[in-house]
Amino acid sequence: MDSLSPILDVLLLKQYQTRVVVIGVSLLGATAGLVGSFMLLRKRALLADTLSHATLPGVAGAFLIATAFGGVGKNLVVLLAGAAVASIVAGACVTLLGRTTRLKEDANLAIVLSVFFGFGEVLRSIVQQTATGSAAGLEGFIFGKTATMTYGDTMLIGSACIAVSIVCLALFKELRLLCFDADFARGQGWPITLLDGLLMTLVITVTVIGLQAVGLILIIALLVIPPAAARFWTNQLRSMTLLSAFIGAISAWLGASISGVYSSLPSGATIVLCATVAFTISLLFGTSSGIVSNFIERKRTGKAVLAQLEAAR
Amino acid sequence: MSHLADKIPYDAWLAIVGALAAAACAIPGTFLMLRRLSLMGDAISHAVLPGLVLAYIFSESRASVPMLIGAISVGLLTAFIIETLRRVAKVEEGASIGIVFTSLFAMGIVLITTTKAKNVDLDPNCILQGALETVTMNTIAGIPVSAIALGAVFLVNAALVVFLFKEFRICSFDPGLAATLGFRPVLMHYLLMTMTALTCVVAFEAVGSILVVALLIVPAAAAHLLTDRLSITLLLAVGIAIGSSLAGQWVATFVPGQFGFGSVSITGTTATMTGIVLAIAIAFSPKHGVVARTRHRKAIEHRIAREDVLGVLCRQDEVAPGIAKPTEMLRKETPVPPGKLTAAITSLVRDGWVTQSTDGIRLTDAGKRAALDVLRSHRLWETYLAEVANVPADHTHAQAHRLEHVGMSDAVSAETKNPDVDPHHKPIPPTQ
Repeated sequence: MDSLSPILDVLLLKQYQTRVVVIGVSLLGATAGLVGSFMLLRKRALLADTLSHATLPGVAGAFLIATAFGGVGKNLVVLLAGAAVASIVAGACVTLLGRTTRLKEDANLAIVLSVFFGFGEVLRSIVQQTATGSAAGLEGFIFGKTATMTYGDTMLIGSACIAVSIVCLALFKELRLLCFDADFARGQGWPITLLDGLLMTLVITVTVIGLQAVGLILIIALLVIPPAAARFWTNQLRSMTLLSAFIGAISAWLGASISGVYSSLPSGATIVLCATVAFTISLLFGTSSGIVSNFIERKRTGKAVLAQLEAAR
Repeated sequence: MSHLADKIPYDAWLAIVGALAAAACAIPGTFLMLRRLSLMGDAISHAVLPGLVLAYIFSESRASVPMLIGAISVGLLTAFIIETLRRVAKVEEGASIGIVFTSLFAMGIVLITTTKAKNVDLDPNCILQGALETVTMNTIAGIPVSAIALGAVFLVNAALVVFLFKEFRICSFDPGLAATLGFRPVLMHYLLMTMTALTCVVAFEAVGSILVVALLIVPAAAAHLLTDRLSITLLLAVGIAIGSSLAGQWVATFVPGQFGFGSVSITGTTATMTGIVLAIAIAFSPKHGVVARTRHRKAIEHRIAREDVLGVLCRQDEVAPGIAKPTEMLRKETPVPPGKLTAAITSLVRDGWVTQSTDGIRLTDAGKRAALDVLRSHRLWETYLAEVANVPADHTHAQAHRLEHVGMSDAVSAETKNPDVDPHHKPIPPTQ
């Protein structure tokens, strides 16, 4: 039993630091899973990839501007504001490219992602030359620092989680319409552009809040993988969003706990891999459109058809 | 050979390696963009991380060949899993890309931190950002290894596209047709994926994965806006990529000095340059540019405004010949906004089609002929809508009012058996 006790300690949140990290990432996983469901159904899963990469020029730019005006560049609020602004501009650019050019959505995402990140690199190499910027800090902001998350981070994630959930719940009907038939919704007089903007704002909120806590790749994974996994179990949007939030939270809880026990495992990557396992299980055994259930369904239909043919003969 | 290579200064090698990376990326990038697989480059360049780590663990060295094989195999595996998820499990393309690359990247990070690979310099951040500045550290006969590798990749890509141009073209634009004609779109898909994986792996060691994504897609997108021909798109994409790379290096090296800073990230300025070229293409492309399309739309609006004025004056002439039309009346009877109406009247006066006096506007003889053409078009369309398209007679006017600007009077006249009067029994003027 001795070997089990540290694992139980972690899973049951007995230590302060693991408690902060595990609760924080689980809340983030749930929120990302919730918002990600709408993004998946709107066929914009990879928008999160673009929006999260696009925060780099915002973070570096906010740092430079704050320093130039004599402020403290590494102020969390300043950096968050910069990230949010850059992310919003990037989202607007994706929309604008879609409206004014004949380029396709995937190209627009790749363009905005790479050009914004490239410009961010330029700004960052300037930041590194300033007196205060050389010390590490901005790197952690983009690539995450899960193990050292603080109580404040968890509170921030918690409030964002509540705010995003309230918006999703209040506008559930509108978001559902947007996801399943945007053209019909437009015809019915719903402000589609506004709703798309709102959905983008929710994604940006989750991204910006989560980015500095857990890093870029993990945020993308949490927004994309749990909804895709949940999709295999149900055709109902309500249960899909709940399940997706649940899978996100469970993956985060398990991943953070495992990396708490085996300290050599980085928590972000472990959480992603837990989500991947959840996805693989869903892909195979999902009751609605998993591979096994599809196979059984096909066999059953085949048998039924054969039986009917026999009967007709 | 080494004698010659030694004479080439450091900056020139940077320029050569950057330009070769740009040229090598632009070729598969054009096809990725056309096949709507733009984010595949992003996915592959993140996903090859576990391939690199495994190759390192098995070969116990950082030798280039095992690393290349490891990375390309995982790159192809990435493309295969994404395609399989999409086909078999019906996961939407973007989502399956997101699932696969984040999972593989995470696997790579776990492999690095849990195995002996952690002692070696396989920094994930370094892969994302690249380090063009250090290319001259690793040379063969005085030539940087990156330059040789990227040159070879560029030649392979160029040769494949030249020899299989027809196949690539048909599979990019219409895979369904390609399959029925006996081409192998699936085979071509994986050939493109192999090219992409090879290019990404070789290029991102020199320039970083984010710049690889930029060089793959942004020049191709700019070229796509500038021309409709595939061969020219390819050439333009390569040209834009090389140009952006050289401009990016110049900016990174010389511009920050003007503001008292040291040189900045070359990969960053190059990606920014591709973005600037794209912005210019979006604005000024002769056919698809915002400026050209706005100008075209304005010209059409102007013509429609002129024709509306002529139409109103002509109908007035039918009822009360020779009486001038006050401008206020004109304003009420046409849907044209006031500013455009004034511009239309001014241009009609300049052409000598209408005259303007204190009591209003009236048609000249030349103007009358043009106006009768507009009226003829309108009434022919009314007839067409009522008789051929079976639109109720009280609904034809509004539609005819839009269609009259399309013209095609002779064709419409033939279609409606050359009528003399429209459904409202108004005479249709003959061709002027």
